[in-house]
Amino acid sequence: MKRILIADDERHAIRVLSQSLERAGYEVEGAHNGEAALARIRERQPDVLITDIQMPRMTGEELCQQIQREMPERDFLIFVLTSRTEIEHREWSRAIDNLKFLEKPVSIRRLTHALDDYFDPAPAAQAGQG
Amino acid sequence: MWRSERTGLIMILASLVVIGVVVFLSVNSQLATRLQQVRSQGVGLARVLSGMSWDELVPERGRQGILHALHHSQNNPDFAYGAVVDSSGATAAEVSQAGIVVPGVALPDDPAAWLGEREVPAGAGEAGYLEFHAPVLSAGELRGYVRLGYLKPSFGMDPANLSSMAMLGLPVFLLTPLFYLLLRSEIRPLRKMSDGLDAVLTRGVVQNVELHPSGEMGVFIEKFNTFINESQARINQLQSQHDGLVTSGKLLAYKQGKVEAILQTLPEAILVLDEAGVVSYANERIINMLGIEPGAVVGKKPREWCDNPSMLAYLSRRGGGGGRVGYLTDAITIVPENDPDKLLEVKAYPLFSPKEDNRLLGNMVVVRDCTEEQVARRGRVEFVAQIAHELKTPLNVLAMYSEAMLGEDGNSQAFRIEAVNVIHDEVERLSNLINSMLALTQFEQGGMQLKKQRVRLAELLQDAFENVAQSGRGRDLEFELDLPREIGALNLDKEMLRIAVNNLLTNAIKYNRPGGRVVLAAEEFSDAVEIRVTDTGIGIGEEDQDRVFDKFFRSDDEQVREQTGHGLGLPLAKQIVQMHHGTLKLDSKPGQGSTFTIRLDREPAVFLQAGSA
Repeated sequence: MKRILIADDERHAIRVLSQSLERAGYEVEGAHNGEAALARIRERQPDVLITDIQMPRMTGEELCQQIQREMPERDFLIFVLTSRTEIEHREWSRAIDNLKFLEKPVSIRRLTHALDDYFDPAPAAQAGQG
Repeated sequence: MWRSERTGLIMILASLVVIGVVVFLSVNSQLATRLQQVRSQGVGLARVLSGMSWDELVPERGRQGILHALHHSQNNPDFAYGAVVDSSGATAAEVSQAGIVVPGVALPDDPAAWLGEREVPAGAGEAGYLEFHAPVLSAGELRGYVRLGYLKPSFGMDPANLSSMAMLGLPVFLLTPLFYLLLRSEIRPLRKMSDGLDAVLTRGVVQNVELHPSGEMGVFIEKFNTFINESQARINQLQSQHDGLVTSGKLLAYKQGKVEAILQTLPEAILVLDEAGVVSYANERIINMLGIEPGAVVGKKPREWCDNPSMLAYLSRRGGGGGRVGYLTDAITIVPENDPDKLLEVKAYPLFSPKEDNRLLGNMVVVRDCTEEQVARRGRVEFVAQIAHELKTPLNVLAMYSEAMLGEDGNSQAFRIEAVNVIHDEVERLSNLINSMLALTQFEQGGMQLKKQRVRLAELLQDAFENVAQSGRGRDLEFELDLPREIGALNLDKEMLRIAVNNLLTNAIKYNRPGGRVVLAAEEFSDAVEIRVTDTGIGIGEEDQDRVFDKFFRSDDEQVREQTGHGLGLPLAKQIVQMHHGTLKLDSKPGQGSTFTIRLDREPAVFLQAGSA
């Protein structure tokens, strides 16, 4: 089972997202800030990290940069949820591989499709056609 | 005066000298003439007498001879004596002027010297005689000599000539004063001219010579006066030109002073660079902006004083190129070396020649402080981004819950209840956020007018307290209202103050702990009223106490983050209190709780007794 780590300071967001993704067949874990997420990743790397940007203690941006420094060989995908659309707020992400932005409000269906597509490209493509 | 007298004296002396010379020359000439006469007479007479026979020369005794005839016939005053002597020298006959003795002097023997002339000395105290002698022959033999003596003409005034001398000297002597007077009359205009020139030289007064002599002097004076008049006209012209120049100079200085005063008053720093890129003017503002004195830049090229590399590159780009048009007037922003917190905009404006449109005289460089602008712009961008984030966070939750409701989760009763609660909370949060944001924005723009009215504070507080207590009933909290029996009515905006109190109470509930207390208290002082909201919650860390009133500030504390919030409640409460000229104070200890105190000063006009309200 693919493991997904969600980092968000909104309890409700973690709650509803976990429920939907678990239903879609993923193992989901939540962290309320960047620090907690980083601690969890150090213990065990997930298959996908979904992180908010504005979080207490350690922001999503700092989390991603720390991951890039500590684990340059990592192969898991990072989804960054952002409410900011300006390109300049995404400048920092250029240095980080395998990172995608998802703009808020997030559609659970689109997120699920994207994850399916990432883990299993062919059926997802078929699903996309269907 | 002395000069003219001296001239007269010199003229008299000169005339005397002239008279003396004339007399001397005249006397001298008379002397020469007499000598000549004596000599020709003596020689001639001696020859004549030499040709006569001895007997003819020597009369018989008792008879007068030829010598006597000769002596009486001639009236030559110079004739001294005449004598005939024999060859031995003995006198045979003689005549002489009265008182003169014929000197006995031997005659030469040499036949060649028989005929001749000699000077014969006289007695003591007398001039000598000029003697002419000739032989007297008788039958071829020397019989004797004829001697004729003349008084040697001596230098001296002949009284007979005195009158003629006087006649000669008098006109010369009379001419002198005449000449002198003439000279004086001729000199007078010159002296006047001299006085006139003195006046010009010493007093600067230019005047004509008021004399009208004729002749050369007249022409000269006329020319001199013309010259004086022309000089006067030229001086007047120069004076008026000078006055004009002084006036226009003053006007220019005034205008320049005005322009410089304007340039000094400008809030921007101004640098004027000539076409060679040298600074020709700088106002005082560059001291504040760039930390350089104007005196340190004027007359210098930017590379001599400019520390900032990008500004130097910008200014150097403009300096060269022979001042031709054809460059950009873009602006750059720099951080000055003297103040890293500042941001300056540097922009060059071309200065065109008023005569040649495409000729560039240089550049005016305007340095503007755009720090505040930049901060404001950044703040605006940050504010909008923050709002977007704050709005999108509840929206995100709403979107996900509603989407989940549409899916399989919607079949679960428990999830539906959860979703409805979450949606309700988030909608309320959005609504509060929007209201607070609008109120804050209006406050900041000064567009919010308080609707003040007399308010019974006790009622207002009671009302707010009950509302909050009701909504917090589900929580394990104790609510306490501590109001004095009477509080004076206050003149304030009821709705606004309710929002402020409500925000404080909401926070007191949100950041409390199970079993905690929320107290709303009021106290009346002689000069103020205090409203206190106290909780026994998590408290606020010291590092956050100053920042809780900043917009959108939320503590990193996990217990805070567990609660929904947008970071606008406290800033808004503070704004409202400040609008009422009050203060909002915070006392807090982490882990023990916080007390927010609103203090509203009692003002005679706004503070009224409850009884009279």
